[in-house]
Amino acid sequence: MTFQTLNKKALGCMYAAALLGTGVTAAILTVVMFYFSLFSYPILSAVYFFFLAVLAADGICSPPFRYRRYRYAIDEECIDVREGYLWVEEHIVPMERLHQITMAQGPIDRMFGLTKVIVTTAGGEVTIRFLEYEKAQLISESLKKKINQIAMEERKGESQPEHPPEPIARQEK
Amino acid sequence: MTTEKIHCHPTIILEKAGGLLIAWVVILLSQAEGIAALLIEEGINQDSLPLILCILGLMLLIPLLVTGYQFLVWRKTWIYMDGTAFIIERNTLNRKKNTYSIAHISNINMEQNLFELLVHTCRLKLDMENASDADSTDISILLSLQKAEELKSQLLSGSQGGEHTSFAMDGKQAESSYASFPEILSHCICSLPGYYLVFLGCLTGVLLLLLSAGEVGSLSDLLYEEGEGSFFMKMFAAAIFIFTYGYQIIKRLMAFYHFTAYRQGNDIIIHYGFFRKQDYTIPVGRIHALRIVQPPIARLMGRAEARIVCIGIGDSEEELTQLSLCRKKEDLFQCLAGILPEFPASSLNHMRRPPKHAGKLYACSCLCWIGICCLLPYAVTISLGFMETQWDTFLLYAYLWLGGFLVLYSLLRYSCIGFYGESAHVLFSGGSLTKTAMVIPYSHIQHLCVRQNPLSRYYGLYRGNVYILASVVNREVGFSYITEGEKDLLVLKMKKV
Repeated sequence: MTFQTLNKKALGCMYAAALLGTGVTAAILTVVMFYFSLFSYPILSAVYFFFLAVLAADGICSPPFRYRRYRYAIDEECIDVREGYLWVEEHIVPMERLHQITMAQGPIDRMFGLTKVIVTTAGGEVTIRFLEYEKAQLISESLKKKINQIAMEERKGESQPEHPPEPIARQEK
Repeated sequence: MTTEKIHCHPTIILEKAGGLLIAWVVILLSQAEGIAALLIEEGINQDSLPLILCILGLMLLIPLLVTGYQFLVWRKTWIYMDGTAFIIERNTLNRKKNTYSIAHISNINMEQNLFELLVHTCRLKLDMENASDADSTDISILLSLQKAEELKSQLLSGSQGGEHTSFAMDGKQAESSYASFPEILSHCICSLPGYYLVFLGCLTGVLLLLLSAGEVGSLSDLLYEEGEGSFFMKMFAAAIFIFTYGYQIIKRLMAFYHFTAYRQGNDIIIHYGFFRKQDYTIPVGRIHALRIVQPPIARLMGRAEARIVCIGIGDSEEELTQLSLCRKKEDLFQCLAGILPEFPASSLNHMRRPPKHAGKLYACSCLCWIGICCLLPYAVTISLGFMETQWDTFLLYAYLWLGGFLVLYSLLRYSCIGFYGESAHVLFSGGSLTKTAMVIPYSHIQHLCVRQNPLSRYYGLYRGNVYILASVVNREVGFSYITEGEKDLLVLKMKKV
């Protein structure tokens, strides 16, 4: 399985999203501190500034790590997506369980010309993020073809149950 | 297969309009005095007749409108089968034709409430095998018992390609799980949920803290404080607390009345209920996972219960997912081997213990939580000056108690984790007070998500979720700490099946 990495544009998108998130959280926190006059308590002020520092550090440091860690692979059998910064997640979706493919763009994605492909199974969704539009289209098309192929094979199998399926070993050859 | 069009049973009009009619009668009765006074005041003569007729007309208009509309809906709703499709057609103001594929029926439930028991009708509930509306029943129709039985049989034979044979026809019944009254009672007691015990523990803990902190001299002081009235209020609160649990037990006793589960060909049949009878028929292929649950008391007594994970069952409070009530573990495994051999529950005995280093990860996580929940709030309370008030001892003990609880909770969670990968199934176990094990065929796992934090990455351990086709509550099945090799096995088996 060969893993693909992201385009440089993805890093900009990650920075924009992280800074926006950090800014909104910091603003909400500051309003709360002011509204309840919590700055008069030294320990709460210290906790507030510590939290802000952590947030800012996370907003600045996390995108390069997330960018380097983010990778995805699509082969004949499954889709594998790895992402994260300190906490790393890996999603594995067998091709045969795919039900639906969706392409979506948020405002920040649109600014950077990026798209996400959402693959849906009967148990939920897995998203491949930060893809260039053309690449996302290619992935979406190839996945669609695979879904159709699997559905046709299943229908064939249902209509002709007297033919036994090929042994797995032969298929692998 | 018949294509004859049928209606629901006419009593559906009463059931649908009944609530509104009763509400209307209640409103009228509450206003009866005023209406009677108005009529007496006017007297019955030629002048007052239009007013009286107007009042009577209004009194009858709303029930007539409601009943008439429901009659129209009943008259214009047709139910029929067309090849492999089950169709419900409604030609009222809003025309609607719902077509369902019989091949995708997840389960069939014949439900009867008291009224339906009296008039010999039943509600046929069907659920379809799809994720989009997994949390609600797809089809619910009211039919006479005979028609419901006929339709159920037709649907089952349709969903299994005409291979369905009724129990009466094949004449043999596999291992069954019939629960007698003492067994149901013991189940109700053993399945006392963990949160109830935690609540009792918290209550006792707070009481002991108050006693040790000297806020309350003794238990009798607490009861007799502020006079006799207060004592009765406290006794009343305690009585409500006890009776709530008593009511829960009685409610569950009634719900599990005559609980029977057995295998009939490729279907699992489950009956239970006193006031509301449930009769499920579930094709085995539609069961996505088997859940073995051990609530705290059951764990102490070496008992366990089995539940199934299947689309449509468990949508409402009355719908219970039990396949077997709480019984001795060996008996349960034996019973499940007869009813549902496709899910090897006895493999739970082969589950491996937590992997090496998992203990360190749990300890680390526990320390982090102690820091967040105890040490940080303790520092904040000190800075706010709360530790110099009369509550200092109470707060100190409360933080210590919380810390102790977190350590205990981590130990309990650690003791519950387990994993076993078979050739066709994977088994996960987890929990804290209540231990839950899941038996899931690889073919039913839709996708997998594994997670690692910096420490677990260092030790090469993973935790995560597998996703299955089920209602939202059951869709994610979490597991704790598996090794790299176990993760690879899981992925490989998922792909191969």
